[in-house]
Parts: sequence; structure tokens; C-alpha cells
Amino acid sequence: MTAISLAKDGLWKNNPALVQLLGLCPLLATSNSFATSLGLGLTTLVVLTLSNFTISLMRGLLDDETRLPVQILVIATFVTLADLSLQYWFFDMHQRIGLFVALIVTNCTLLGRAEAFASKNPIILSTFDGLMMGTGFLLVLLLMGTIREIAGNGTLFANLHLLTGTPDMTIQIADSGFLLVALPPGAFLTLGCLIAAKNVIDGALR
Amino acid sequence: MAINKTLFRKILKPTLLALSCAFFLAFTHQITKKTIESNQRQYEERLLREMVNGAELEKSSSGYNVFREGTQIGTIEQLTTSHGYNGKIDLLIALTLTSLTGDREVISVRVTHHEETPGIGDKIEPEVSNWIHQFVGKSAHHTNWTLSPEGDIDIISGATITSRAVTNAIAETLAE
Repeated sequence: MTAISLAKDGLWKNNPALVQLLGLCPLLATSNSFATSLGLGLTTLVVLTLSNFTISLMRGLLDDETRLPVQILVIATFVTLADLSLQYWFFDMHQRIGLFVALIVTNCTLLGRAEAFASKNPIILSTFDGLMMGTGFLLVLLLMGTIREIAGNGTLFANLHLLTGTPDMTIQIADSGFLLVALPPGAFLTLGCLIAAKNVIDGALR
Repeated sequence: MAINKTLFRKILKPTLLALSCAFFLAFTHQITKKTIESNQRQYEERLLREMVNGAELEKSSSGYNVFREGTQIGTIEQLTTSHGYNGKIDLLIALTLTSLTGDREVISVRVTHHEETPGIGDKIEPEVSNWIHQFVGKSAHHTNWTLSPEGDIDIISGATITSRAVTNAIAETLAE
């Protein structure tokens, strides 16, 4: 188990969103614009890394019967912490994605990595795994956010200034877009296309 | 007894961990509480100031009284409608004072809370679209409060229910 294979796993081969198909609820709900994707993707990345670190840290202490509730407890603690931090530093962004931040608890990527990796591996590897899986998730989320914002609303980077604190940097590409892409079914269709594209690339590489 | 002892230890560990997590979060909550509350207040104050273009505000029983150079020019009221697509929609509406004809004009309207569909119904937010600004200057008697194409109020495509809920809430307040 090397760092390179962990990075490959998280970013491509075993990508949480495209291959494991985990964490679809927040993935589909927040991917309708670039700014919300970035906000939720970064929050997930931080929570996943911290929870993997903590669960790996106490992996010797856990019993088989109580391991899962304890892992959920750790994840829920970090999600609440992230929620409070967002309200502390990025209140305006929290007004936008606050509803979905609480839902990170239900993101199976977190429990999945805690159970499948962090509870069996040393601290540094587990933290790195969390970082890579989180980055893989963030990249897919950003790609979907970009596609859906351009095709669904005809804009890009709308509301991004709420996160960066800079002036409004919305790029108006078209007057309007296809409503379907902005709607929840559009999220499924976009994700389906991305998975298909990944499979085509994998097939071509083989 | 031996079994009970292991069982006891197995229960004790998660319990202690849950307690420490709770303490940790309570501690964080205490530290962040003041700033979060002031963020919330700033957010609301900025909203109110924006609504009346910098006029002075004074809290009243039902909302705020709006003053410019010492004379009252209008009021800000809170209203809530439950006819939206999902959950309640909370609005703030700034109105001019009653004129002789009894026709109060809208100064501005803002949505303070809603759970409408992101990407569709959220066009009622001024950050997302200009839709909410169309109500400026509208009044009870000089406006046809039905939605377009019959009436004067533009509709958000894909969000008829949301548009109707907000429009009706404003019309009802004006009619009072």
C-alpha cells in the first residue's frame, strides 16, 4: 500500500463518486452551481480527512460491536464542527449550503472510508486516504457543478464571491439554460454521462 | 460475572467518547456563539438597510418604522406564507405610509427564509435573479395582482407555485 496507489484509487480507479457511487445525496443536491459544489466539496474533504485521522488514531480501542456507532459519532462531531466554522467564517455561504452541510453525516463515503480503511491502517496512510478520496469527490462535484451551471443557468461562478470574499465574478455565458439540467433529474443524467465517459476512457486505456 | 465485566467495558468506552464529543462541541459552540450571532445580526441589518436605501429604522410592535430626516416615510413588516412549493416562505416588505386614497406602495421586498427548490424556486432571492424587484412601486389598487400574461406580475418559469405564493402574500398585505 503506497501513497501513489492511494492517490490513484481516490482520484480515479476507485473514485468515491464515479466508481463507488457513494455520497450521491449531497453530490446530486449541491451540484447545480460551481460555488455550492466548491463549498460542499471542500467541507466534505476537510471532514473526511479529519474523521479518517481520528478513527485511525483510536483503531486499537474499538470493539467490533460498537465500532460503527463510534465512527458515526466521530463523523457527526466533525460535521457539526464544520457547520459551526462555516457560520463563523462564511456566514453568507452557510445561508446557501447550510442545509446540505448537515447531510454530510449521511455521506456514505465517510463511513465507508472509516470502516474499510481508517479502522485497519496506520494514521498517516489513513489521513492521506481521506485527503485523496475527498479530493476525488471534490473534483467530480466541481465538474458536475460547472456542467450543470453552464447548461442549466447559462452562468459560471455565480455567488462564488460569497466564498472568496472578492467582488462578484459571475460569467454570463447565455441568457438562460435548459431547465432540466438544473433540476434534480439533470443531476442524475449528468452523473450518468460522467460515469459513462470514465468507462470509455478506461476501456480505451486498457 | 466475567461476561458482565467485558460488556460493561464495551458500553463504557462509547459512552465516554460520546461525552467527550459532546463537551468538545459545547466548548466550540461557546467560543463561536458570539461571532455567529453577530454575523446573523449583521446579515439582517444589512438586509434591512438595503431595503430602505439607508433610511433610519426604529423597532415597532409589528416590525420597523422607517424614518427619513425625522419624518416617518413607511414601515417594514414581516410576513409568512405557507403556500409555497416546500415549507414556509418568510418575507420582509417595506411599504410607504397610507396615503389619502389608502393605497400603500411597495418600497422593496426581500425573502429572508425559504426552502423552495434550489435552481428553480430560489429565483425569488435577489442574489439569484431580479424577479423580486418587480414589486417595487406596486400598490393595491393600481396593480393587477394576477400573474402574467393576464396580470402585471411576471412569473418564474418552472416555479408557478412559488411565484403565486409570494405574489399573493404581498397582495394580501397591501389589501389590509
